[in-house]
Order: sequence, then C-alpha cells, then structure tokens
Amino acid sequence: MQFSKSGPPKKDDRLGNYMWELEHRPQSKILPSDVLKFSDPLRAVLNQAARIGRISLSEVSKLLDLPPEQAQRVIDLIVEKDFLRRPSSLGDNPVYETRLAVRTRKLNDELPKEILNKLDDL
Amino acid sequence: MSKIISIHSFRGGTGKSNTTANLAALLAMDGFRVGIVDTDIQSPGIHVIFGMDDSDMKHSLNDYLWGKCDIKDAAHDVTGKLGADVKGQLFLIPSSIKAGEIARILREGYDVGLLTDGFRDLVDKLELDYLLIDTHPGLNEETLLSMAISQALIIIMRPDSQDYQGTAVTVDIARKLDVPNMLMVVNKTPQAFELEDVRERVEKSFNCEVVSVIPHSEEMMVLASSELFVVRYPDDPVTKEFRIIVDKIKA
Repeated sequence: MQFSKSGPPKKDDRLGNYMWELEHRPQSKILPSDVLKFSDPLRAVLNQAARIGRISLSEVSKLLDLPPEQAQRVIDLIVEKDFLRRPSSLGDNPVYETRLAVRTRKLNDELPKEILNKLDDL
Repeated sequence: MSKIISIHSFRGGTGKSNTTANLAALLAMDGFRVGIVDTDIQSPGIHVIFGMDDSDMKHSLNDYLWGKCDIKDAAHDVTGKLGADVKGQLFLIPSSIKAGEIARILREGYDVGLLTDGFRDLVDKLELDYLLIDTHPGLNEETLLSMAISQALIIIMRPDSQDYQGTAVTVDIARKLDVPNMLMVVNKTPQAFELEDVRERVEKSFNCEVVSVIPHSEEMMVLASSELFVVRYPDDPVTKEFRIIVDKIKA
C-alpha cells in the first residue's frame, strides 16, 4: 500500500488510516515508547498486546472495528514492524505474541568520554 | 490471576523502594506469593531493606539481562528476613551493586524487552500472586515498558511543586498506555499539612483517586531502611496507610 506521495488517506478510510499511521509514525520498528505516538484505537491494540503478551485476530478486528481480512492486514504490518510475532499455526483466529525482546536501546550512550574512561577503571 | 504492579515516581527520594518493600511484605504476611524486581539498575537499593549485600547475591537482574542466568536463578527468597510471621512467600530479584556491573549497564545499555519476558517467566515459574516492579525514577524506555505491561500502577509523589509537575506527565502517559488501575499515593507529607487538603488538591490536579496520603514519619527516617517499617511498627499510622494501599491492590 503506497501512501507517502499522496499523504494520509481520507478520515472515513479506517483501514487506510491505520496502515498509514503504522507506516509513518515510527520510521522502522515499533519500540515500547513508540506506542505513545499512536492514536486510538490503534494504540489500544498495541497496549493490549503489550500488557497481556498476546492478541488474537478477532480481538484486533473488534478493537479496530474492521472485518477480519482487513484486521489481518494491520496485524501483518505490526508483525513486519517487529512488535508481534507470527504464530506457528494460523487457524481461524490466530493468536499473536508480543515480541519486545531483542530490541536493545541504549539507556545512555551520551556520557562524556572522560566519565566512560573512569568507569572502565572500576 | 496474578498481578504485575509497577511502583513509580517521577522524581527520586519519594520513598518508592521503601513503599514497595513494605507493601510486598504485607502481601506476603497475608499469605500471598510475592516477587519484587529492582529495575532501578542504575541506582539499586531495595535489597538493603531486606538486609542483603553483595555477598548475598549469587545472581542479580543484571546477570539475567546479560544472558548469564535464568531470571528465576536471580530470585532470592527473603521471606525469612522479614522477621515476622509470614504465611506466604517473598522473593527479591535485586540489581547488582557491583560498581563495575553498574558501569557496564551505563555503557552498554540492555534489552528492555527482555524485562517483560523475564517478568512473565517469574510470575509463571515462581507461581506468584503479585509481582511488584520497583522502577527507576523518571521516564525512560524501561519505565514505560513496566507501565505498559502492568495491571496496576502505583504513582508515588511528595506534596512538592516539582513533584506535581512531573507527576502530571506520568499520569498522562499512564492514561495513554491504558493502565487499568492507577493508584496515587502522596508520601512524606509534612505534619503541618492537613492530609485531607493534600488529598483534595492532588485529586483535583490529576483527576484521579488518591489512595493514601502518608504523613511524614520520624520513625521511618530513624529506621533508615535498616528493616521493614510494617514489621517494626505494626500499629503506626503509616503502617495503616500501607494496609489501605494493600487492600486496594487486592480488590
């Protein structure tokens, strides 16, 4: 789906707006703090997935008020953004687990060199 | 169902670790299986309240984050250190207090996502009823993540103008993260203040319920984190306030 040249979709295009937001808010992967940047109800989907550790297609469909096939497209993009993990077996109502590990972000990499040198001496 | 509860304050010095330790102790005394994780990796301290030092820590949270051990191996059973009749069990996952290991965290950072995996593993493997997360003050990737995965968030502040501003930010973020249960606690309230006036002002400022306004306590200061307040002073007004918070957690 291409949005970048034409700008955000019209307001009544729910699926288009969700996809556009996912494509554009975080430029690459979705990190935990990126969740704050999303608008509702997309944020609610990410919050629920983070809090419970998993979310199903039917839950996403309900939260986003989209038919399952459209909700699946949103999920696929969230998987691509590495926030959800694709289940080994899909079935009728696949459950996706959150994937928050393996996304190291340094807490502080801006310490002055002289302080880092002193830390090395410890 | 087990509950993950984050205890957070925007600024340091609010009594966050002491509150966490005392709430956990009361829950364990009530018969629950309770875990505490000290995620204040840059400036750990809650282990002191349980009489632990470096030599008592075979493994720490740092070891888990660096892949040296399973998070369960970093859990220390501190039930016997409470000095009280405890029907349940209390585990502490401390952060390392070795200067070199704190330095390594500052230098290399760590995978905050591993924390969530670890929290859930702990709840499962130790069969915990409650997992209390003693967070680092302020807001960073780790504190946001802790809030995001918690069923309840206890926000601790002092009745201080700097705390009011900072806490407003925390409350706003907690709402954006859809934290299901937000419990506001005002701590270290000077004796000169009317507790009910403080409660009213904070509730009005943040539009949320204040669970407890804890008065400043000389006894707490004198105790100086050397032991658990609720065990030493079971009938003190401060202990009664901790009990109110615990009842709210259990509700």
